[in-house]
Amino acid sequence: MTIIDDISSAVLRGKRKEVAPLVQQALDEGLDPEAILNDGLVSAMTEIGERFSRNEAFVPEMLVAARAMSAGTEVLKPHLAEAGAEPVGRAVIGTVKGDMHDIGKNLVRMMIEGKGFEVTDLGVDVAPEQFVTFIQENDDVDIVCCSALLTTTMPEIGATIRAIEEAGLRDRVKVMVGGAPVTQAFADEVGADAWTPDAGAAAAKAVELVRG
Amino acid sequence: MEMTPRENMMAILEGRQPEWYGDFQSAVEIMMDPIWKSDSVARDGLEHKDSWGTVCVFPPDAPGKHPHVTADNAVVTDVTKWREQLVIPSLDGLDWSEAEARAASVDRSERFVEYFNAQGLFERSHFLMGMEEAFCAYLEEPEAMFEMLTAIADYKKRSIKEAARRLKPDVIFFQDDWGSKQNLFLPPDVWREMIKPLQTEIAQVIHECGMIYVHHADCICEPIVEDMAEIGIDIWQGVIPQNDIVAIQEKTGGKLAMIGGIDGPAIDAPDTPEADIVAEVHRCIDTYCPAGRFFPGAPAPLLRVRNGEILNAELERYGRQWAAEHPVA
Repeated sequence: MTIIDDISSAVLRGKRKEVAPLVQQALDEGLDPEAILNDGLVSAMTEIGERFSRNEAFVPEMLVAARAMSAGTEVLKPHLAEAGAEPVGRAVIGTVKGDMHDIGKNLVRMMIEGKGFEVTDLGVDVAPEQFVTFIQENDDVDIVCCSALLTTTMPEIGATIRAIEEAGLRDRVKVMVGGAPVTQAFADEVGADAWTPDAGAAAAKAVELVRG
Repeated sequence: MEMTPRENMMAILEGRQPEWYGDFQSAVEIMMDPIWKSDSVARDGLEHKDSWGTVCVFPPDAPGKHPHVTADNAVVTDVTKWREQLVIPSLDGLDWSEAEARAASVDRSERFVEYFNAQGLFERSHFLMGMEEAFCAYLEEPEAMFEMLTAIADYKKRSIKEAARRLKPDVIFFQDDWGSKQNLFLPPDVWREMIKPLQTEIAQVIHECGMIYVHHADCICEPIVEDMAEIGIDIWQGVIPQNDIVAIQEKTGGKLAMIGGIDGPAIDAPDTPEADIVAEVHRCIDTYCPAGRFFPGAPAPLLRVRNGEILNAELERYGRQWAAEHPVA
C-alpha cells in the first residue's frame, strides 16, 4: 500500500480524522499536491460515486466520504494554490423556486466538489432571477445545476432555463437538471444540457460537460 | 348485502374475497389528535417551530411540511450532547377532547379510526439535526445516536399508549420514510442495528394496544422488507413501484400486506392524458393484486386535483371489476 492508497482508502471509509494527517504525510514525503488530489482524493470520490450509482453505497457513506475528502482538500489547498492549480470547473447549484428539498441537491454539490469543481450553493427555493444574477456576476460559471423534488415545482426548472435564455446567458453555461420526478424526456423538453439519475452520475457528467 | 369499506379492507388484509380492490386508507377516519396538532405548522410558506423545536416550512402548494434545518437553527448540533440540547415534548396537559369526540362519532362497522403518528425515529433524528449531520452521526457516533433514538422511541411508545387510552384506534399510521426513490437512506446493516430493535419495541406496543400497524414509507424499502415483516408491520403503506413489488410479495410470502403500487409522479403532470392515468391503474392492479393482500393506490396523494380524481374513479371502477373477475381461491 502506498500513501496514496492509504488516503484513498480513508476517504472511501469516510475516516476524516485519518485523511488530513495522511495528506500532510504525503506532502512531507514530497509528493505532488495535484497527484495527491487526483489519485488519492478525487479517485476515491469517483469510486464511491460509482458504487452509489450501482446502489452499493448509501447516502451517509457518500456524505462521510465527501467530508473526509474535504478534510484532505483543506490541507492541500495552499499547496495547490502555490502550484497554480485551477479547479476543474465552476458550478452553481440550487433547488428551484417553491421547493425546500435539499438532500439530493447537497449530494450533487458534494460529488461535483469531489471531482475538483468549485461549487456555489444557492440553497433551496431559488428563484430563476437568483440563478441569472449569479451568472451575471460570475462570468466564470461553467455549469448551472437545478433540482426539484415535487411535480408541482418541476416547471420552475423550465422557468429557470428560460430566464437564463432571456438574459442572453444561455450560451455561456451548461444546465444540468435532476430530482426524483425529473426524467431525460423532461430535461429534453425544457432544453437542459444534461440529466442524470443520481449524484454520482451527475459528477461524472459535469466533468464531461466542461471538458467537451 | 354489500360489504362496508372496513369489511372490504379486512377481507383483503385477511386474504379473503373482497368486493373491490382499493386503497386501505379510503376506509379510515384519521384523528387530528393534540400531539399531531402540536407538531403541525401553518401552510403559509413561513418558518415555524414544531413541538420539538425543529424549524419547518409548509409551502402552500406542497403536499406537507418540510424541515428547514440549518447550522444556526438545528436543535441537536452535536449528537454526543443530545441530552443537553434536546427537550422531549411533554404529553401532560394535552386536550384530547376534540379527538375523543371525533373518534366517538365514527361508525366503526363502516370505517376504521386511525391514529396518525408522524415523524418516526429516523425522520425525527434528521428533523433534530438536519439530514447531513444526522446521516454522518449514524456512522460516526452510533452509540450516542442510538441513545437519542432510544429516547425518541420511549416518547413514541408513551404517545401510542396515550392515544390508545383516549381514542381506542383500530389502526395506527406510523410515518417514517426510511429511503428515497433510489434506495434506503441508511445502509441496511446500520438500519438493522439502529432502527430495527427500537421499531420492534414500538410494534409490540402498537399490537398490545390492539391496533393494526400501518407503516408509511413512500420510498425504496426493498432491502429490508423481510425485516419489516419480522418487526410486525402489518401493512406497508406507500410502496412505490421503483421497488420490485412482485419480488417482495414472493420474498415475504404474503406476510407483509402493502398499499401503493401506482407511479404517482409519472401521472401527475398538468397535461397527463386521462388514458395514461387509467392505464397506470390497470398496470398496478393487474400486476400486484394477483398475489393477494395488496391495496392498490397512490403511495402519496397526487398533487393535481384533476389527476387525483381520475385516478380514484378508475381505482373504484376497475378495482371492483377485477375483484369480480378474479375470485380468491
